[in-house]
Amino acid sequence: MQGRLAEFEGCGARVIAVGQGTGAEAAAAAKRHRITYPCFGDPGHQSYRRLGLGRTGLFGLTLKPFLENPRESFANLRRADLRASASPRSDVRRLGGAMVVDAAGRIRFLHRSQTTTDVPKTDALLTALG
Amino acid sequence: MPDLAVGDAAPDLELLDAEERPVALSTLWQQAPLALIFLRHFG
Repeated sequence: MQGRLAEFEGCGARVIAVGQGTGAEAAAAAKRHRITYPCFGDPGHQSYRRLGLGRTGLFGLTLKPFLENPRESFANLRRADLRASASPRSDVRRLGGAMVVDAAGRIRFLHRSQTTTDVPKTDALLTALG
Repeated sequence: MPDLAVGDAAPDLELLDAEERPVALSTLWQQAPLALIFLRHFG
């Protein structure tokens, strides 16, 4: 996402990230990962629940990603900050997703990840922004 | 609560900025269309 930020800005759009934690934890993670767009915290996970973002089981959290996509899973593990992942405010079983909202407040795109390696396609987000 | 879908009004959720101040999503999308990425974790 960070590498294609200019394309979003070219569409007149803003990119933000939301994480399961405090605002300060979100800002620290953004700095650690060199993310320049705003990162917000949601320590109560209300936005995840309202959007219907799912949770995975133990198999989906551990073996399944390595069986389905070993290269990406090992790369994720290598660059992971396990202390941050173990935050008491973070639900490790919660899956991510993405949403595009237009200036009138209508949802133009909604992706609910089905697995830990199911990430929204940047091209799909850009298409939704027109 | 019904499942949200494309075309629905987005929920005006409240998030926390770096100083732990609440920010309503609507104040952001009223400035510009928004692409929101929901992270699994901060790790």
